[in-house]
Amino acid sequence: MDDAVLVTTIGATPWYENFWVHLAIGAVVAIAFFFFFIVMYIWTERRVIGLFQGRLGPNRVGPLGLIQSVADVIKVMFKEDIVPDKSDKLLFWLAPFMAFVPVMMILAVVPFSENFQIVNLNVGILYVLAVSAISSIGVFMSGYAGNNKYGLIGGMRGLAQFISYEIPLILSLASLVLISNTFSVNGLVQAQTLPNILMMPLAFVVYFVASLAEISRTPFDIVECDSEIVAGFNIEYSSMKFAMLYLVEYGEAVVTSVLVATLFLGGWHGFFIDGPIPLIIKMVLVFLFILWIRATLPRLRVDQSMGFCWKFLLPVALVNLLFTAARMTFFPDLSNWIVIPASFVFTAIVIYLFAGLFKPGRKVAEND
Amino acid sequence: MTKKIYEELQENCECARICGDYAEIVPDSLPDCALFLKDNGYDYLDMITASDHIDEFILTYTFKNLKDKDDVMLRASVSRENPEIPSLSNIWIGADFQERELYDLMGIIFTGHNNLKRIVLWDGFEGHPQRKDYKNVA
Amino acid sequence: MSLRTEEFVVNVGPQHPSTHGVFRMRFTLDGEIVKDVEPIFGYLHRGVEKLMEMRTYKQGIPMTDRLDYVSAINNNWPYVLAVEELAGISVPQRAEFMRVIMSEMQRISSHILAVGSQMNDMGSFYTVFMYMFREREKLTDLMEMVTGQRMMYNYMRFGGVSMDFPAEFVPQLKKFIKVFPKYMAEYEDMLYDNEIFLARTKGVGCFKPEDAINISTSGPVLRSTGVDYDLRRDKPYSVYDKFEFDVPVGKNGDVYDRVWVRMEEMKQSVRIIEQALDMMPGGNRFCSKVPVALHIPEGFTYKEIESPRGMLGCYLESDGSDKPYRCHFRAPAFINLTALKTMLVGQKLADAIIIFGSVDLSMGEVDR
Repeated sequence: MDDAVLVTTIGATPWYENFWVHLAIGAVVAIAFFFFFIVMYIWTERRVIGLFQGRLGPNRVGPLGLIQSVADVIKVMFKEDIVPDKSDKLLFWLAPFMAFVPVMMILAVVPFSENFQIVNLNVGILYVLAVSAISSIGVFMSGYAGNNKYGLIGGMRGLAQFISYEIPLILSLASLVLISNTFSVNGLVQAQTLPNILMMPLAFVVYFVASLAEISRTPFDIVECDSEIVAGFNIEYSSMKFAMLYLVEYGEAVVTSVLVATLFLGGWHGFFIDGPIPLIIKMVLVFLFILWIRATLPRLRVDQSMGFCWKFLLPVALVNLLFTAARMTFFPDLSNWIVIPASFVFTAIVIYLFAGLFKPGRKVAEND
Repeated sequence: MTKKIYEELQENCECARICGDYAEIVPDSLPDCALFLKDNGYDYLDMITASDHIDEFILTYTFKNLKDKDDVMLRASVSRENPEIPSLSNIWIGADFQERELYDLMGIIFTGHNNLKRIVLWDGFEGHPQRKDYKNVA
Repeated sequence: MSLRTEEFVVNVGPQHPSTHGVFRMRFTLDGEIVKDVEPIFGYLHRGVEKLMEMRTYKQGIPMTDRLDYVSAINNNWPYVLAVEELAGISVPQRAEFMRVIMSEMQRISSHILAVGSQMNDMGSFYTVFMYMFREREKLTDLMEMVTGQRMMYNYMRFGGVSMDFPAEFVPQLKKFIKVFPKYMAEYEDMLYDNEIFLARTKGVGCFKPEDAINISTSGPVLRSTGVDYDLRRDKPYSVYDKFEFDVPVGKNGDVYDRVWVRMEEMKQSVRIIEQALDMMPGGNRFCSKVPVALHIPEGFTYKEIESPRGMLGCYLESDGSDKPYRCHFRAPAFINLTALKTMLVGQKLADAIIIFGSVDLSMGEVDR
């Protein structure tokens, strides 16, 4: 492995390898990256979904509507901050922070280039999984604290969905760890001579679908479906707290696309140059794919979504883990030319077989 | 030329008279007439309406026979002082909202209806706007 | 220690993104299952029937437009038919065909709105809605060409229609009819092959034909259960006995069947418009001469037509003066609403919104 970035010795180190300087620069870069991409994502989403639907997106504020998000943030800041009388005040104030901050913390272990990441944790994957679970508590807290039935329903649905889909997520990451032999995120990227999506397409499918459900995106957006329970868990919030909860959704989308690009698409490996630019391109491509799914599909009902997780995704993830473990034990040095086509065939077979087991619809009456 | 169904109706229930393409009945015999029509194929209750003729309210009921593509119209007259008529909502659920609306706007009481309260106007409203003596209309 | 559960009451509406109009429902829920539903409406009650008694017959025609504002032309028709029967006014053939063409165009546009907003309720985020509204916009432009209005057309008169077709109308309508089946194929692709759509609509909200007849439902709701009754074919009014068209009848009475019936009815409307354009006599007699101050002899009548929502009827009673003595509208949406309780009890809350959308209400008609 190449040079680790974090140097913890104090004293005879140059200033740019000083721990505190590095931490300060890293924090600034991470926060700037995070907020910049949230704003870009909001703009991209509105314009691209407009393209899908045959209309323009925002096109008044600034050239191509680029400053629309800024205008929205300013509008939201000037709104009156209403706190319902019967709500649980402490939880009401705490919930947006608890939902928002952990999402940002995930960026601490993502390698932006070969030499630069904020913390080179050797259990990076575990850290990511642990921290992302905290934000789901924040979402449920916000639904509960508003003392509103709609919020409660939304919060409970979200929590149930989040907990259920964590398991296939972790299982697919476990199979990644098996072939790369390391838990650290930078190690996973460096072990990808070929992107992991080619080596393990089934793990990619499981991870992608599970993380769509984690970030509550269509078709799993029962948490915030605005045509059924009005606004779900953030129904009682206004002004900055609402803005934070709204940013949570896009922040999670940013972090998910960064993680998918890092873990499966090769991270900072690029065709001609390595570094942050290929990472950003891959990130945006993943996000466009998430948008495409949102523009096309309607949403699943909550029991169908749960059924999909427990009856389809979990068995598929388990099968994937089993076969990966078998392959690493018995054929550790198989050539890539055999592994890649075999993986794709294996993926197709498993998905076809398991899709027969799970039908999301209901049995129709006898006269059909 | 009167339809055969009206003649059968006159034999079996208390029908005042047949006038062309409708029949006038006594209000209290309404459930019997309706059940007779239902047994003879006219099982679709189409419309219930009423109009205010100063001394009396005249209610109009239409029934349909979906298989033979035929219609029947019944009219009943209730007095203004005592505007009561038996309700059909126990036989046809479709009569439920229509009778409530007539109670709301005209003040006709449908006896036997299990939820006779105002439907298009709010609960505290006073008066029955569709009556001819209701003032205060634009 | 046993767990105590209790039912709770959730209020949906009157302001709600997915109730089509101002409508309120009080659900009594046990978890996600609906135990009872109480519809509360009257928010749009304008007293149209009483207002029509204060205006002359001709002034009443624009008031009928405002009943079911989604399919406005169809509302003029039963009123105009009733007056023509009582007054003994005859209608020239050309005017009859013009009435049929405009009504069938309005039927297509009303069904587009019904199916599009049904998909919207399912969460497909306006994509299918926007695609379908492309065609509805063309239809609205065509209607504006004839009547000068985009919504409250005020087109029919006693003895015919208010104005003749302009010269450029018929060629443009023919062009639209030729292109529309291709778009219908596109919509069917988007709907019938969508696994999530099928999962959420098949077997949901089943309704038996005996219940449908007992509750006096009509229109697509009645035909989706298997009862084959359509006023245009079974009791033809105007010139409908000259056309050849099918009446789509469903099998199960679930939400899928209602969507299917509406899509098929759109195709049949296209057939009717084609035949009407071929059969329409030339000339320029579009309205009989009717005295300005129209006095109608005493009497009463009840006329019905088939509107996109069901059987729309007008009971008209006249006392010899120039104002109606009593004018009552048999509103199909009002009576179909009675079926809501039968269809919703026992379903989940998420399904309740979809079932409610499939009944296709228009609050102007319900409240009058």
